[in-house]
Amino acid sequence: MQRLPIYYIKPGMKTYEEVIDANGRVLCGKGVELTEEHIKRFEELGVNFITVEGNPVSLPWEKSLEVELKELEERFEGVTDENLLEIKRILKEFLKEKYKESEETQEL
Amino acid sequence: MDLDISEKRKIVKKKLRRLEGLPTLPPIVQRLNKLIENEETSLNQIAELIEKDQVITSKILRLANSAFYGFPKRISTVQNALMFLGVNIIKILIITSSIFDIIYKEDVKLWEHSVGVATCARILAEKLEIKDPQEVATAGLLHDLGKIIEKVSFKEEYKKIEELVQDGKSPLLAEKEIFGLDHAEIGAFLMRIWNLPDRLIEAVEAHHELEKAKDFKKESALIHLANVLIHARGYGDSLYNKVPPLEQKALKLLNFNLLEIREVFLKLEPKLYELKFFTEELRKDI
Amino acid sequence: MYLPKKIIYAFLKKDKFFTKWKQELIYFLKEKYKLKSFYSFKKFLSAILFDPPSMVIYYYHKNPEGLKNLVELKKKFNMFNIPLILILDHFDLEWLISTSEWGDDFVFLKDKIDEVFVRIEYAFHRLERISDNNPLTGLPGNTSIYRAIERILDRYKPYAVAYVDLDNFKAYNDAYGFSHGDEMIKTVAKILTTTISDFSREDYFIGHIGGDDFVFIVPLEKVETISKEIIKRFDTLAPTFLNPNDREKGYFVSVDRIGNISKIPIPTLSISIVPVVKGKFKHIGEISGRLAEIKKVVKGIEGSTYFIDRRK
Repeated sequence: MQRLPIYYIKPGMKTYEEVIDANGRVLCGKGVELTEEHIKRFEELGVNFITVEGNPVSLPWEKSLEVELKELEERFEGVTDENLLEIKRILKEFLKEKYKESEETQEL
Repeated sequence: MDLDISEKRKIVKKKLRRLEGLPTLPPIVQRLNKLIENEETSLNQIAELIEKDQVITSKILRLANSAFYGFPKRISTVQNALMFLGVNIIKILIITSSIFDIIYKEDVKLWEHSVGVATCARILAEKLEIKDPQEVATAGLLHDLGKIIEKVSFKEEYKKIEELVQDGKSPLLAEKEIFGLDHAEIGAFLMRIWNLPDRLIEAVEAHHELEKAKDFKKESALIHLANVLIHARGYGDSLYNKVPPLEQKALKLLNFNLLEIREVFLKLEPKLYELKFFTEELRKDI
Repeated sequence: MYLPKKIIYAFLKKDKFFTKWKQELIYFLKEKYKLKSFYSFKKFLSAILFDPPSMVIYYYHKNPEGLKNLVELKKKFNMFNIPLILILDHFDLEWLISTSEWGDDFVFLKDKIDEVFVRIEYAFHRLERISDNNPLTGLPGNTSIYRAIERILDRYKPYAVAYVDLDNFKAYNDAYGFSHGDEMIKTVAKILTTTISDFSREDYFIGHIGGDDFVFIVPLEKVETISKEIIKRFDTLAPTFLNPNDREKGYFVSVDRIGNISKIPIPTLSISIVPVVKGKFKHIGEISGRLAEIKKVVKGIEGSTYFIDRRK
């Protein structure tokens, strides 16, 4: 699934979860194929982001786990402080988990 | 001519007092314009957009705290400032936007970093139940205002600092060597002239050197930590690519166990993901 | 007592003529006033916004469009006390009449500098002498308020006359001092001005009777939305008037002359509203009478409230 800002949403995309407005009101269920009208109405009601099925848009700034970890190492190069190293460890784990999760949901 | 530190400080402060314009990111100004023109836009929506830009935020706070319009040092969030000044003030602010609109794509990462720290600060403040989390988030947004001033109003000196950093010197020391002040002190100096609330000023002033904090030690430690975390995550950038030092004192002051960081990253990641769309759009529009 | 020099901002064209014009004027202004000249409209407007002067002199033909922004700024920020003198190159009757609502005076390029100086002095003194404006908030006072209400008595378009005052203001003033009390009044004035002008464009009036009493007039169909927003903004900002301890407790402590201690909650707003339609009232006294009755009702309700008189 992919979370996208409203201006990236095109008709034909299917919702992965319910669409809620700023007041918590449910505007649309999940698994619904979105139409022009849907999108326009969401925009008017101030909806900013929608999670859709699949991975319809390739975002050029998204990095692979490899790149993320490499850059992480670069940022922490030469660091010896215990606390910072702990943060690095936790962050590394977190990133690995995050990528694993998204891989799993892609396969769904 | 090698002036001593106090001479350099004097010169810099003099120039800061006379500071005329601050740069703006033209794409943000454009978006603001659009929002204002639409009558249905709510005050909240406008505040949300402004809260992504430290320069406009600082201008609005400066106005709201000006002795001419009200009580100095009272207003610390964009929302409150807009309630006080009214939304139409933005129109006039847009017109008076600085002519220093020479912002390069590479500068967007400065904005990215500040918004990241603001977001992280808010999450930390809510988690640690520190009062007025939005106020703390605003301090996070403004913490590197000094860097922007350096880049735009002290171009020559900024180049020298970049050179020193490339040669391996720590950015803070490089700033102190060239200016006699570092970016935290520059930011705080301006915020003081502008009568912003002390809580904001101290958190900005002490975010690299916690011993500078007196009345707002917790808030300063929080911004310090948020800054480190955002650098660690690699969201946006400032002068250097490396993670800055983390003072052990900060964790003690906040009573924060590092293991709780995972939870922070969990909350932070989706927000940074959404913000990324915003800043990438800005890059496209420059 | 040392009084700082009054500062005059002049928006001029950068040429030989104005260089001379400026020099000559400075000779007259000498010790009394300081003149700062601007050639960039953005910088000029920015300076007025962040560092308001005592007077503005504007060379109209340098930037005719900009004048609208300048006037809007003056209005939005209640800068009634900053006279605006226009420099023109010719006399245009109709146009000048249209500017009389907000313009204070005008001079021509060909006028001698000593005449310009006299007009500056006149403008400053006139301000002090005739000002019906409340010295604290700059809002129009009783005379203007009466006139404004009289104007709508006979209009077909329905309007609402609203009376605003603060609950627990006196206690706040006593506990925190008049300086803080003044700031609260100024804040109320600011909120009224910006909120009402945000929601009602040109069609409104706001007056300050004195103390913590205000009056505003807006089209009837907008009065409820506006009142709600005013209350929302005031309630958001009111806590910033208490020190952190009191803010946390939600009240401050007041001691009366005898020594009785009471807990006073944060000041709140009361808005009493009377709709006005052609033929409904013959006389202002009737309106103020109704307002007084509504006021009793509103004061009895806790928290910031508004109440509209629905009677015929």
